[in-house]
Amino acid sequence: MIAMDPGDFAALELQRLVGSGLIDSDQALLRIDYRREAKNAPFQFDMVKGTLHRRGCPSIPGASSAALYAVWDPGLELDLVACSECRPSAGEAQSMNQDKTLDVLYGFISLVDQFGSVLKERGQEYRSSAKGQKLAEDLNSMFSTLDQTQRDALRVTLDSLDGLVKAIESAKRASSVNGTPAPATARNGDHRKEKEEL
Amino acid sequence: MNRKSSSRMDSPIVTVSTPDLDELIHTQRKSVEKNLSGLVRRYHPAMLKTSDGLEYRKMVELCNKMSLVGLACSQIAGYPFDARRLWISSLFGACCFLGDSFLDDFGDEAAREYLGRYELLITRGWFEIRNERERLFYVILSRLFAERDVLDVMLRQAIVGLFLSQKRDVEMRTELPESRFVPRRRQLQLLRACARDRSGHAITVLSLMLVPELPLRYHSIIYAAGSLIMHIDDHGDCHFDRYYNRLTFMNQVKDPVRALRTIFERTIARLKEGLPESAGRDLLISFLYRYYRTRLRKHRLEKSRGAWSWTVYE
Repeated sequence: MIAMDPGDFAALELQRLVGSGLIDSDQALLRIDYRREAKNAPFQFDMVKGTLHRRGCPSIPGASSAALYAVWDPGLELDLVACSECRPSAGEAQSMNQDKTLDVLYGFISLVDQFGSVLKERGQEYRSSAKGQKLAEDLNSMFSTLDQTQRDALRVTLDSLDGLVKAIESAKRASSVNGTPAPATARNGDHRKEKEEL
Repeated sequence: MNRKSSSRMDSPIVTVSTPDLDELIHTQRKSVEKNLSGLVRRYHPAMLKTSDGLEYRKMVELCNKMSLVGLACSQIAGYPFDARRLWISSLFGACCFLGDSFLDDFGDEAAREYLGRYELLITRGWFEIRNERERLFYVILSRLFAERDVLDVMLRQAIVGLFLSQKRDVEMRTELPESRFVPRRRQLQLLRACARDRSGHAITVLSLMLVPELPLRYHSIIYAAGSLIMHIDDHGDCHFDRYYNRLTFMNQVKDPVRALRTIFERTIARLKEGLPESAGRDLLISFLYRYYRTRLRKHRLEKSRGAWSWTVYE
């Protein structure tokens, strides 16, 4: 038997987690679909005619409706592809003006939120394993070599992470009290019941 | 060159000489097969044995075709077609082949059901794997997505565009939704647009996977090349599609040979005019000409072979 590539293993395991009930399949793991965001883009590029229009330009042919791509910033090519009717201009170009740092933070939070129960289970297993115990020893000895400033910096980082996890858990509790999604494991139990009834 | 097929095509369409193209197809096929064989052996070994490996050979041919188109697109944008780009093209070809098999080979109900699960994959990232074939498809797709920033704005739209046109194709396969109320001319327009977009979005996904910063003006021309490939394909599969009552523009239009020639000539003119002079442009044009010629022949040959023919064409 040929060994499984670690990346393939991880990808397949992720999908298996849905069936195991450990994660919430109602939450997206990865959303490729861009239709929601595309509606706000300032320009639309007609792939059939090779023309860039302002969003909603009346000269966009109806036959091209399934071949329109949302464009935020056409860059230097604007003049080469611009529609002569609506005349899109560079001044209207927008980049995705979101705070990327905040996006990364939200991404991290969503992962902790979505995979919280898996991470907790894995953490407990890892802590009691030989590898985990060795790591604890190494961390203790590393910690003893740090000076006070370094220890303080590490403590702040750990406290921030701890605070973040607690904030996520508290937000989750609040949302379930308000009638919005309950924890993943409970909801998956309900799904199974529905399937049995079917 | 088959000069009898069209006097208008006597102009030097073939910019890469036939022996060179033959050689390229041959050497690239070996590399493509090397990329795919391990994956198939690991995740769907039955594919290598079923019907003496016929399906696997068909998949390799499609991947090789994608790799040639991928090579041309990379060169048009001024990038070398290195081992990574060949790998991406091979993965993309295999994804298309397996995805199409879910749509074409297991009945209409299975096709609709697959579309539902694929929609969940692109809207939420979850995909229920039920058998070895689906496992291979999912592994190949996840490897492909890992090669590039799959959340690139253009790429995301191309992936969704491809899905939507596949969905439309399945819906229109046996009956046009408004067939009782829409004039025949309009029906043909709908079928033609559906074929255009399906392959247009597919070639856009491939080219963005290979060259994420491809200029917009080239995208549109490469989209047209993709559309041409679909029409050529449909003409080659005309008898097979008719047997299974599948409607396509090419099996519904009155004079398909003439219609295809018109589309071919218009597209080649656009490629010549709109793409920069490069080895990539020459290769793309030569490949399209060869593909056009071989599928015209396939159309003629398959007519006499009957509905069950499933010959592997290069």
